[in-house]
Amino acid sequence: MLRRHAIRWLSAYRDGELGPEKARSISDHLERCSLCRAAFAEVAFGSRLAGKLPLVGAPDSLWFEIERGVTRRSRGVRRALRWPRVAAALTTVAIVAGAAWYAFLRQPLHLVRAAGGPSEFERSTVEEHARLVSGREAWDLRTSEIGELRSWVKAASAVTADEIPIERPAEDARRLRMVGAKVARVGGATAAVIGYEMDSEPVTLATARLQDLHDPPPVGRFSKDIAYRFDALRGVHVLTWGVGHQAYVMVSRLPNHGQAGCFLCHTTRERRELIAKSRLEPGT
Amino acid sequence: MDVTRGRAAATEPHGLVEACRRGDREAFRALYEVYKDDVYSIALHFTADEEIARDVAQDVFVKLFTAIERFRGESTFRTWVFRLVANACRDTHRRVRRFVPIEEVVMERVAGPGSPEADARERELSLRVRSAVSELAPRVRLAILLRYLKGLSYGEIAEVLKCSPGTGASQLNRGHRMLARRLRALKGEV
Repeated sequence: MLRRHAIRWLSAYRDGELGPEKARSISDHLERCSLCRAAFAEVAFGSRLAGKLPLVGAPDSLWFEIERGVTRRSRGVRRALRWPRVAAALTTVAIVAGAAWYAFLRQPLHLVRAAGGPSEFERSTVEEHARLVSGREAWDLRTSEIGELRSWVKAASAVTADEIPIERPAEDARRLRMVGAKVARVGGATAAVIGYEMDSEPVTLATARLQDLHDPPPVGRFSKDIAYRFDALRGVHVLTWGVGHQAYVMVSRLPNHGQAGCFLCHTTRERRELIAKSRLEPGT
Repeated sequence: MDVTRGRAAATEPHGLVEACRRGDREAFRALYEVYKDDVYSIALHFTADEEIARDVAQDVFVKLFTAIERFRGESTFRTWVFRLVANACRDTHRRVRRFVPIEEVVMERVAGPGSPEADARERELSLRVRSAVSELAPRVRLAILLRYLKGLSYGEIAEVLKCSPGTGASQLNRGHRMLARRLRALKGEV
């Protein structure tokens, strides 16, 4: 017989996790104790609520990011495991490198002035932007729903738009408006072109497989190596980068260097503040 | 309470684990496919932030694949995996003290069967539960997520969280009662 209340055991009791003797003593106690019966009802309700948590599918692009991380790390780790002293030293380096990596992740974008003339991919995207904004070109898909846009891009092209989060911060209700998507020949490749408005400015984001482009941008060691140029003829900012298997060109007239267009994919307050503070570095 | 989600995958993918130890990339991919949604869901519900959740999930799988040779079988493989997830979540919580509050994030992903009105109610309910879960203390939050997203037993939860079974049970108990109190207004709907 329980002499004290049974509250701390109630979840385990309800879920059948107690042994038979303990379970019986809890059951007997509940018959006599209104306080514990009330707590049991509370636990049962809380359990039903927790059962409403949904399983959420992992984004498709996650595997590519993992592959790169595994390839980079496992080469060093496998060799190190053969030599314990070297392994210890490499572990220390990895920890320091990890801390530096984390510190780097907290830095703004690495915006670098582009060298040389625009690539075919950039030129084509700037022209596409001009045609779409002026209405001379139509969207294949008109939608305000990111989920619909992502599914369409995946079905209609060889690239994905899964980097665009469906869950948005509240401020995007007034800042972001999705317009649509189309498939177009850009830079010699079949690209997905995505249109949206950020702070009422039209933004065009083209993405294509690196392998399909005549002159792909270099894939930075870090996803924040972004080349910037200003197209004076059309008065637009052009940001270009490569990450994973895809290249991206973003065109807009957003302030500074147009980096607010990156808020399509970067949604945390902290990240947006870092992006907004990014400075342009001279090219090498 | 539905904890059947995890039960179907309770058997260890033993062949896959051994193949991964030998460096078989196809086995890595297959193992990833087994665990990806569970790992990502726990990370997402823990952090309430898609971008950070992706970082956490990436960290977990990179660690898993590069450290799999050191898995000695002292626990089940899935316990080991979820321990990696729990550690990564806690490390992230220590580094990024402030996650975007869940009430600022509009959840559009949850879709259910039935009428649009029922779906909208279900989504709203899920959103409020997610919000309440995100306010739980980290260890309590992890216990709830491991139980309800993956169906881990109390014993497995204690193994993952490296605590006694009594402490694990106590964390779940606390989680249930805190959710019930925070969401008492929903009593008629659940």
